Amino acid sequence: MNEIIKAEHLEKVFGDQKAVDNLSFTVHRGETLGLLGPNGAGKTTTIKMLIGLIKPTRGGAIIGGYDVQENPIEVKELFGISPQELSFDHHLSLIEDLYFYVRLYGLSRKEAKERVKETLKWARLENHAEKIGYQLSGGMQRRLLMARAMVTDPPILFLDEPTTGLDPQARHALWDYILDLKERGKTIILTTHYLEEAEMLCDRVIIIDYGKKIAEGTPDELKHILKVENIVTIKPRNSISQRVIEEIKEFTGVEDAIWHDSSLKIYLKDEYVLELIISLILTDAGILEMDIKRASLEDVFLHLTGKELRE
Amino acid sequence: MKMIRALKAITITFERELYDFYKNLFHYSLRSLLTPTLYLLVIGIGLGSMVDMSDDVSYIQFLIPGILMMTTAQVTHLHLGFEVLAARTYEKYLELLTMVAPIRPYEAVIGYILTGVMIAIFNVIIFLIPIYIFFHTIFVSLPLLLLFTVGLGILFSATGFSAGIYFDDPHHMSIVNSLVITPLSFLCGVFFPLDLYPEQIRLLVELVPLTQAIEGLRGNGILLFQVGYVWLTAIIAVVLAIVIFKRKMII
Repeated sequence: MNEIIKAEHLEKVFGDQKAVDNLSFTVHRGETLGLLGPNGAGKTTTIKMLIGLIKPTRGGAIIGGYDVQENPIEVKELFGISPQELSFDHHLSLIEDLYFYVRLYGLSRKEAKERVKETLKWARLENHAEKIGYQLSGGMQRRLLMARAMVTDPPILFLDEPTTGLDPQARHALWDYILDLKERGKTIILTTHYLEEAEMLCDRVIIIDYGKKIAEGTPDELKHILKVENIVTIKPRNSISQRVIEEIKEFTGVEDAIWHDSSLKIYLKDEYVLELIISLILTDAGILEMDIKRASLEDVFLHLTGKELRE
Repeated sequence: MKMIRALKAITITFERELYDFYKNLFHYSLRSLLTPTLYLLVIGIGLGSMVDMSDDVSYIQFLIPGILMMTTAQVTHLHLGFEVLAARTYEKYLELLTMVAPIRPYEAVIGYILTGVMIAIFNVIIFLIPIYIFFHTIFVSLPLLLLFTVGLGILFSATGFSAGIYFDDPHHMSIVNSLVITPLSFLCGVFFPLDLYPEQIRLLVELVPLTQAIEGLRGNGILLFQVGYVWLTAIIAVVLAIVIFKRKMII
């Protein structure tokens, strides 16, 4: 069975608000699926339904062949989770924290001690083993959550916004751990509102907004939704006339051109018109700054939802 | 196989919580020693010298069963209540240990309540050591003391656990303590005989399991009924704690 997670018509209603709306997807063994969306899109609620912490209003999920609602213990033995919120006991050191946690999975005292030692080494936290979670830096705390998810060596990992609150350097460092987990063949569901993160780490991405799936595919497939190769942003010296903008829109290699925030954003299907566009704008308004980039998931998100990802 | 897994889950929860308790043993020992000793000194020895007991029981002898049971109720309720509330709302740790890990809700609740029972027994022992040193007796029957301590330990661990799960705000926890636990403690005949109450109030006070435990330990009333009553209310409280836990933790 290649399919290890199957969510069917998941729906959750809180009061009069639909947090998740008819969400179906599958995840294959060894695959990393990204759930991408702004805060409040329903990503964490989806994860909590998959691990049995929230009862779906409708629909259900099968993990490793077990129904999440019917066989919670069998399902829980298959996954580890790095939750969005930091969670530490105030009295237990890292080594004690992981030891008692892993023993809940049926490991003997000896096995538990060995497994904890290995995991702390993997997370490069062995020198902090006697500290309490709160005494660690932000990046180390996130690594501890990751270590806790990994300590039972489960086939499935739920990483719920694993890099939230980290500075770019710590975020990139954490990505290396996630890439290592991918290499070890783990099946991962990763929620994030960082598009760069989804692009970098995920084999497949589901974009969610207001609890609904609005797109699904590999990062490359999703980028092709836009039907553009490059996006050129030009900040002119003077205001570009509406006539020139309309003229640019009419070029065959141009998908769209939008004037926004004192800049003109041009979605290019073909690059050959670029020189023509530049000379046109140079003559009309002059050019102060120019930026050319490949279309990203961020542009896809903007295109699909009409808004930027909210923090 | 399922039974073995369940027993392991309960034991590990119990072991973890007990270890957590052990790491703060000094503070908890002070707590268990200070409050009852103050009651004994101020009320037992101070005010007690002005009390004339009608039968051949000294006031100290009368007071000790009440103080033992009252502090057992208070300590277990407060300990479990704040432990669970902090783990759930502040440390965000409870969900992980009781819901994400492969453990059933009832196993987690029983593990916590067993810890409460151990704390109740610890509380009684810590207080009885100086009593024995000063008076060369503990004034109560040891088997009865164990029966009532465990019974009340289960009951008030379950009430504390339920409160810690139910309330999200620590202030609400202290309101429960001020409005329920403290008045119950003082009304249950700890400091004076129940005969002094008007009949209707006495009937109400006798409904409280703490009253039955104190009276049972003093040798007043029907012992079998008193033990049965305390244990029955304890079992009901545990069932309620499991129901509250499941409803609160699984949305």
